[in-house]
Amino acid sequence: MSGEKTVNPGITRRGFMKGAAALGALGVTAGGIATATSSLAPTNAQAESEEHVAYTYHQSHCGNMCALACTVRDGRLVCIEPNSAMAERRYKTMCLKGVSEVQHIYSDKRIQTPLKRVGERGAGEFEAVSWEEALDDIVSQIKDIQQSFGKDSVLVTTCAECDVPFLATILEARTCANNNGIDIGTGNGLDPATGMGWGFAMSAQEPRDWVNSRLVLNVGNNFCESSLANARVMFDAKDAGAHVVTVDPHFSTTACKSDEWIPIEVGTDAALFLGMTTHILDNNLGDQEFMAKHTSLPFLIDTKTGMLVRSEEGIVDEAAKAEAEAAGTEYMPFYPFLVIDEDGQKKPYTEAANPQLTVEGTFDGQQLVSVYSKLCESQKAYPTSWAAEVTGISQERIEALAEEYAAGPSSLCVGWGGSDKLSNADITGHAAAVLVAVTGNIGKPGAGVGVYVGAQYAGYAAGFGEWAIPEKYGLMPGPADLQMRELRQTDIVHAIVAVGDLLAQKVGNMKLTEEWTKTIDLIVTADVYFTEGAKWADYVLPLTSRFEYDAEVGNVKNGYNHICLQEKVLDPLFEAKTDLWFQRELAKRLGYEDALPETADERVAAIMAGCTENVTLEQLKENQGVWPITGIENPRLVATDYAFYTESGNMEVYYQNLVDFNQALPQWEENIEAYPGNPEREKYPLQLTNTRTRFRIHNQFNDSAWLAQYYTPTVHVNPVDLEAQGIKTGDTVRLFNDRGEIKVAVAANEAIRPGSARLYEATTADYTVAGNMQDLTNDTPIERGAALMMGPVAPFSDTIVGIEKA
Amino acid sequence: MTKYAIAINTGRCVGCHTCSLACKMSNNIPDGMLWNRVLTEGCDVIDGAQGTYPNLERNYLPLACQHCENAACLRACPTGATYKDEEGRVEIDYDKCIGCRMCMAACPYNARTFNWKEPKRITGADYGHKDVPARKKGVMEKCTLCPERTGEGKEPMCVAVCPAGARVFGDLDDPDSEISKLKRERNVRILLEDMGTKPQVFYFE
Repeated sequence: MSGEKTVNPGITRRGFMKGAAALGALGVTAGGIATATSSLAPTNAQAESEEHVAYTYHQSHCGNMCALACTVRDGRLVCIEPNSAMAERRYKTMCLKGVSEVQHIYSDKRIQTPLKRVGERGAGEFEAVSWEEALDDIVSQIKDIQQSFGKDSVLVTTCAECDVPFLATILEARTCANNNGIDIGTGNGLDPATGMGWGFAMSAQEPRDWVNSRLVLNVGNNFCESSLANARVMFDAKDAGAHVVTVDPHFSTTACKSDEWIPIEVGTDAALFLGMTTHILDNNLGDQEFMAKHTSLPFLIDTKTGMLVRSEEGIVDEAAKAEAEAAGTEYMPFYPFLVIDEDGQKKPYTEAANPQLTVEGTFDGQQLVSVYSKLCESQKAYPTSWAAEVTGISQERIEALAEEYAAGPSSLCVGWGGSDKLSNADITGHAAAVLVAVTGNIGKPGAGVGVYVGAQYAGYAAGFGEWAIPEKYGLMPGPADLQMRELRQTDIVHAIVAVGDLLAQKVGNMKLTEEWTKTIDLIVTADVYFTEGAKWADYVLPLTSRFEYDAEVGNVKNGYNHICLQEKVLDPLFEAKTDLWFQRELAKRLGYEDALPETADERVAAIMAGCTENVTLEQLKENQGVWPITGIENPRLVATDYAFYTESGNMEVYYQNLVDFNQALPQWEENIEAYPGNPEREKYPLQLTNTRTRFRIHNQFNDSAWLAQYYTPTVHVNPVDLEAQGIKTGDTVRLFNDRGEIKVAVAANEAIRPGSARLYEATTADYTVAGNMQDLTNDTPIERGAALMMGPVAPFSDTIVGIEKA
Repeated sequence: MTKYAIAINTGRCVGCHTCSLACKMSNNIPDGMLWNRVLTEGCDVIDGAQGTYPNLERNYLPLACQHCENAACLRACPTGATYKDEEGRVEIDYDKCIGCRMCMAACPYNARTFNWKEPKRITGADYGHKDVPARKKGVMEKCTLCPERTGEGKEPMCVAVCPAGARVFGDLDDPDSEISKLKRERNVRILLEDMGTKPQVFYFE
């Protein structure tokens, strides 16, 4: 890109007068990009044309899934606006990415026809083939590979925006473990405590609940960009009197819209939480009753083994026992954890009237300590003076924040995007869990913890049915036991079927991924757009965008507290086929003729047959494809009965499985690369932050010409880090480290923390001057990774780089 | 009488450009042109900041035609192509526009954009509302306040789409309208007030 495009026309009086030059700088190169579909419809008088409106939903991966009303004129998508049938004004929303689809679905990056590789793998040389020829050869090769190397030698990788739920099953293929370590960093540490969140820290209540908070403490999230519809909810909370504080190394959009921004050293969120906890414990600001009754803090630890002590008498759940016996499986009673009750007696926590928090001593010849006492001991290493030194936040501010947080009700917004992509993210999550446990800021209006991104993820959801693949075929998906980073080091995989980008999305240190793909016998990419991963494929297959379908309806999903229907907006463009058609054609060739529904209408009927809301498909259609879910008048809350989904039912903050790693309670640990004292920073002084932006959803919209009016890939760096080398806004720079290098445009920006460089996620080679962002990123797994709930995190932002003028 | 106007809550504006792009879409604006832009005040990069880290400030300023009561563009137009319509909007009659660009020079808000070339659209086809009139090479264009939409009882597109709820559309001649109340009760910011153009678009926090 040219540096010009990042230039802001300015708002000074002189800026206004700069006139056309400034406006022109924002512009796309007129006519410079060939349209893929210029022949589809002529530019003509619009008024006499045939026009209709169809309803669908947009992408879900920002956590929103906006319901859209799409105007189609003469077979072309011409206008998109919010669906007016949504129940409240707040749900009638969309963002610039939704608008951009009017141009984007006709992008010249659409895969228009099936392609077969003709040159070297990765060279990007293809010829057009028919769907028939491509699918016949793909299935024939998959059969041969599976016969030689086993069913699980085929790997299916998918992205959240595709709709291929049957693909791995019909191919009996393996899939990747635990989202390849993406978005699970904080959840790894937080979720074992609550038993909620699925490893993704999705344990928060609905963001609408922020109006009930006195403090909304947002640490390492930028939802005003990454989940735009949350912006309205944040402002509603501010209007209701919530104090919104954002902790971020950078002056993010969310930071600048909060009541207060607290700048923090990169990767030290855990230290902030640890310091706050110490202050709360030392000053007795915690919620004693919550700690005693609803957490594992009173549980007893055997000091010799570090393990929690249990009753020898098991509690038997008769119903579960009968069920197990009927199924012929062994039933294990629950042996409850022990506490010391107010009478000084050791008892199962289930029987104690008032479990004691502070316990240390010898009981029946056994040296025992309560989790609480152990925590108090452990926290001695983390006074607020220490936290101030590590985080760069003043001791006074940390203490005042701790007091405000403890007073509550407080929402603690963590996970995804920020410190979640650092090596010590699990400690951040665990330290957050402890902070919540000692203050009881959970399970009540205005108090919760986790990822608050997106109305869709934390909102109400209806239950649905799904098409069942007939049992007669005995089809089961293969294992999902290894991340792609790990598979890359084995010879297990011989074929890959990727829906979405394979190479540039899932793993850091991309050169290693490229080397690995050279060893694979067959790579198939099926996608809407031609991505970096597609370059490495043997076959590239065109799928439809969500606006195109070959049947009246495509799918039904939950979004924004509504049931949302995907109606056909357009017929498939080019030779693109739907995700369902693609899966069905593979199944047919494998001999599972009727394994999948013949049409999407048939599948939607199966989904709606299991719908838990009292609505029919016909009613959905009549109501512009949307239907409010029961109860949405009030924000969705979680764990209001304090019944956590843990073994004990309490909030469990002592992680026995991490005793060997000295992380049973959270202990501070630096990141692998991104810490101030790293001697490597003499060569590579900048931490490279891998950030989400309003202009993308991961790699989606990289190719949007309309969005390129506002943003093309540019690394933002604080001017102090550029001045020494004479680098200016608009220059091209080389970013480099031991793993690789890229060349990209640079902009000087005071909003970036000195010592950091910010590039938006999934910046791939077609959009930089040279190279993929993932050529630089760190792929080192942490030592305790395998012991964590979701395996090791993908530490994309635990990356340091050098910078020089290219 | 009617005096349509837009109020923008800059406290709520997150600089997302949704209003800008939705305006482009709805009004069939050609490549390389925008009627509505979101500026980052005092910065030479989008999403920059004023001050020195960590003492920073960032303010977004959505900027389009201010539909001035005393419009400098209207006074500059030699053919009457720019006019004030009955609903209080500043509009352009494209048939009367001779492309002299006097209005462009006169507008202190840089809100007007000119078709220097034959309009091109990367989509290869028109988009937006069906009743938006076509423009050709050599005519001026700018924000119209979406009369095609308001005529159907809808809000202007920028107001309808704003994800943060930062925009309010209404009639300043109706004292009971939300926008009139905002103008009366809030600490309102008028751009370049001393120019005497009397903008109908105003900003508040």
